Amino acid sequence: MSRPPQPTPAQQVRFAVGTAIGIAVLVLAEVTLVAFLPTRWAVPDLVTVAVLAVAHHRGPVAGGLTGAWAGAMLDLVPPAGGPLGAWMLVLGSVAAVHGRVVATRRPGPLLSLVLLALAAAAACAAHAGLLWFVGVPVAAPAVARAVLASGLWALLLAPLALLARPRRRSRRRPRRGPLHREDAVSRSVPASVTAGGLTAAHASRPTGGQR
Amino acid sequence: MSARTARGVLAAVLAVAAMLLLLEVRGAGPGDALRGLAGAVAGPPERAVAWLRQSAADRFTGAAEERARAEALERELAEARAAAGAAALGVADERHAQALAQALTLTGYRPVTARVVARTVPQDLLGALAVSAGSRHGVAAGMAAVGLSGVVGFVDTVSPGVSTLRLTTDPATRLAVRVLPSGELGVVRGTGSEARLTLLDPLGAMTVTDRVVTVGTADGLVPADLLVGTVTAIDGSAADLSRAASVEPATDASTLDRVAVLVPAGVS
Repeated sequence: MSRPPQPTPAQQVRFAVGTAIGIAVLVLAEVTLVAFLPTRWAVPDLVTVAVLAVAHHRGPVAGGLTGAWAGAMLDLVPPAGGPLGAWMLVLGSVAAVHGRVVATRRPGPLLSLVLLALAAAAACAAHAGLLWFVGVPVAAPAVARAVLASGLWALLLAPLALLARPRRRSRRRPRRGPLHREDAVSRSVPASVTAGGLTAAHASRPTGGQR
Repeated sequence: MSARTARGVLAAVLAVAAMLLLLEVRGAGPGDALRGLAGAVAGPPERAVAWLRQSAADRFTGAAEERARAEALERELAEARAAAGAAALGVADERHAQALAQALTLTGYRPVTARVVARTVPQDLLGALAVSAGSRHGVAAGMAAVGLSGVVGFVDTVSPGVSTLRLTTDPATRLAVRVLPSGELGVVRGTGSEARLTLLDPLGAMTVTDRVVTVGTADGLVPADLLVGTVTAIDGSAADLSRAASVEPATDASTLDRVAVLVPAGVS
């Protein structure tokens, strides 16, 4: 079995720079546009969903680093007002854990949506917990409302973030490397049941009517 | 970069985040400096997006002319109030209006009008706005910002063209206030979704519909008698030491478009 080629340093840099710019644009869009939507209690949290989507597609390390970058932006870009490092720590950690869970469990499409929504709600809850831990008194009803809203909005946005990926996969060979998913399945399962091999194996397998 | 190195980088980044958080809690973090720098970088695009957003809204609603007329009227109103010594908007009542006008005439405040360019999302649990006035307009940390109905919040961090306002509902807000008409002193704290009032005297008089105004600060950054909000509900009785009241902010920040930052006289 031949291993897929490692991404070149140039590809890694291109991915990192592209993701960093994309996240920066999303953060600006979130505070300058999305936050002005006339929904009183909650608006779509594009940044969290994007970070979790990166963790889903690219694995825990890339997801964690993307989450840390996004969190740093949220901690710094006006009108940031919370303790510095709170979002950075929360998004980095939650994205890394989410990426690890997805890489090891390999959930189906429906479970992926639910996992992403749960991770978004967990990020909101973890941020509230961190605020409480450092002495910022957030009210429990406000936290409950925010956690619920985060989860529901993430559930609505998750298909856009997750379902766009398979088309790209079909055009490209699966890649490996530190900024890509550590494919636990490919280490333990023969290539015949992975993406391209599955079709080939089934096509060549004789059926009952062909004996 | 190997997978092990990448994991090490991630661990280091998360450790840096935790260290920044601890430093911030101890009050020794580089938060203000970094946020000032971030404001200087992100401020211009935020202002540009805010302008585009407003232009698109005006085009969509056909309200550009009405808005221009309203802006002109707001400017005239602010100038008239400043000239009359009542630059602080949202005066509690006539009795205090006279005292306020006198006080502001003596001390003097210059309202710097600014557009709301960004705000935190509700899930953030921290109520804050970014407005298009900064250090080059004379704005400094601690100054009060008012809307047409009363206090909006207080300046937290400042960069050359953009400032961050901490709203009265922000959980980190602590504000000394006076309750009218009783005159009782108290403290307003944000909870993330509302403001809670606790009186210094647990037996002090307080009823629903009482108005809550600022006490003012000794350094003159916040004038006295600015309307903060109205008492809407009281939890507990007068004999209850944990009695607290819900305060509805005078200004609804979720629909706010413009604010005036009160810059004390003498600050250029």
